[in-house]
Amino acid sequence: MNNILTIFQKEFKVFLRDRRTLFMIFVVPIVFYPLMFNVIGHFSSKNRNELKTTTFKVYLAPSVPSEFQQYFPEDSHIRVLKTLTGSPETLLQDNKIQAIVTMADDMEIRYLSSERTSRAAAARLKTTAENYRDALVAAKLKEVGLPETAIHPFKIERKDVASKAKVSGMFLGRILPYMIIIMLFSGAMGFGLEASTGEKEKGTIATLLVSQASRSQIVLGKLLYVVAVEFLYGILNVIGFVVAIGLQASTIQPDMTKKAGETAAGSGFAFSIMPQSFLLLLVLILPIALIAASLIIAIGSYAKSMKEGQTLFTPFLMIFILVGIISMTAPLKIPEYYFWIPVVNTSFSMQELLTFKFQFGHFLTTILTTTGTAAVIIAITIWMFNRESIHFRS
Amino acid sequence: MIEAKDLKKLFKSRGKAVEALKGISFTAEDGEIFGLLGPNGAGKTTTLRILSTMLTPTSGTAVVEGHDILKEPDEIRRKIGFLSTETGLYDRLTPDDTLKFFGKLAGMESSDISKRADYLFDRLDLKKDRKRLISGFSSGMKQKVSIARALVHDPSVIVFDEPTNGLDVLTAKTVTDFLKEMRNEGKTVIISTHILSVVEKICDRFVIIDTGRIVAEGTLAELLEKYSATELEDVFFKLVPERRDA
Repeated sequence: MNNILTIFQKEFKVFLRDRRTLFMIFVVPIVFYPLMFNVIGHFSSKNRNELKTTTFKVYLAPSVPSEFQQYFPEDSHIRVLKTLTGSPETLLQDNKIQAIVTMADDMEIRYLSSERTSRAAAARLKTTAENYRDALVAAKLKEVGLPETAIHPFKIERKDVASKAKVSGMFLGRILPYMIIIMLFSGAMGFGLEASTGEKEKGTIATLLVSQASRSQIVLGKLLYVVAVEFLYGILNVIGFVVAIGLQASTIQPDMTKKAGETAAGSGFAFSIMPQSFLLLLVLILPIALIAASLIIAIGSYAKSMKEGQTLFTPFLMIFILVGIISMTAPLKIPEYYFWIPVVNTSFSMQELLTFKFQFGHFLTTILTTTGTAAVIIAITIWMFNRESIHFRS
Repeated sequence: MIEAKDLKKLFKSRGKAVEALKGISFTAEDGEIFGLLGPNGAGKTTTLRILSTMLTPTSGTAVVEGHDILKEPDEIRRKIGFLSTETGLYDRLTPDDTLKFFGKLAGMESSDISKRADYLFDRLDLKKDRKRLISGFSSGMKQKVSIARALVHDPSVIVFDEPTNGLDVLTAKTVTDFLKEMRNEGKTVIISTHILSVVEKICDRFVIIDTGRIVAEGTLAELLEKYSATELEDVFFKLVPERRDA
């Protein structure tokens, strides 16, 4: 045990002296995510404002009644072109005009879904068309002496009573498991390769192999280090992400914050996690951190160079990215067998925890299967590390 | 004492079997510097890797200080100090950190590591650099730190693979003087080299290895007499004719 800790301490000391790595670990998440979301927020807000004030050119076919234009919403910024320089269809395809309205029995708004301006113009024209239709219906009802309530006997209102925390939890519950898994595995790749293949490249592995530490102790010491740094890397990235998204939520996710704002609790983005949930989250993460670390040490010990190590680890990373994507696009009812697939179950259990739907049975199954998988991979890693052909591969 | 008994080693590379050692036997006594002399690829490093338990022989065995390399590898690693061109150092550690790390792995107390470090750094003229990061060291200084690292646990058997390789004359002399000093302390010193002058200067006995076999064994005087030669170079080229470029 002493030698395991000694190796861990040495690895950590070397890590703390690497300024570039420290910069990547501590500064990047804190600067990168706020900066990224700030830029995204800035541009999405700029685009929305631009769309609001942009005047769209539309063509109304002669069949469209002239009074239709009276129903354009205020500030709709729609300019109806009286004369055209070419065929309306060609002009629309070239986005010279943003929409065409025709009328036979029904009204048709033609637009290009591939163009944001065209989509926005079509939305405004649809509102106009609904207003126009309502006005026609109201006039008809008046003619026959019926009140407007004859066709609208009651109003329909949707009221979201989800708390801010639930709305935020729903959003983060989808994205965080994905992020955590990806961060753990990409973190493991960087630090684990440095601690395994890096030793080969620098010629320090032979020094370690002839030391009094057994090969199992070397593997376990390195494993402890990679897990610790993975955690640090993952947690700092997630914190940076959550803080940044919280700060920029109103500009990036206006719908979500609006919904949250409709509740009595007030407006804004709120992500909170109970200490016990946080603890359970860490318990869920630990086995997959071990899986990632032992996988990378096994691969890193086999690889002759960092490049080879990265190449060999990439398929595994892709699998875990896929797992993350599955968790983001989860079916409405998650099949029970998902909770028996290691790593996939971690993702869904994290989701349950973050969205206040915690189920102990799922949690337990997840812990048991992922811990078992981690134990098997660690055993394989130790077995591999004990093989001399791994260290002196030609 | 080291006793190598018919060591054989077969490597498999891309489906091909390469016999690196074809039955090597020798004995290196306490209080002597024993040399393995041979051209590149002769099997010297493989032999030393086997003695240091980094590799296991395909057949045969060796006994180091009474411990069999196959049965008690952990015990052997406590007894030997191994250094080779492959045993690199951690750039982001200082010489002090390095000795603390390997001393702790050897199960030494901090106070003992400290005393041993003082002695080794003083002896190897590294006192003023012991707290500097190794990344800024010259290759000669790195070699001195490597020697200190290999000897931190005061091993009774010293196994150095090409200890003067790539060193300037002054550093090479420090290393060879240090090896002689350890021999005089009664330790078993075994080195490998392809530099004939190193063997002439410091080895009490040596073997010449070529293509995985020992082709000659004895003291310098014995071999000069046996092969009617005046210089080791003549003996070497008689025994390793096809490898004159080594």
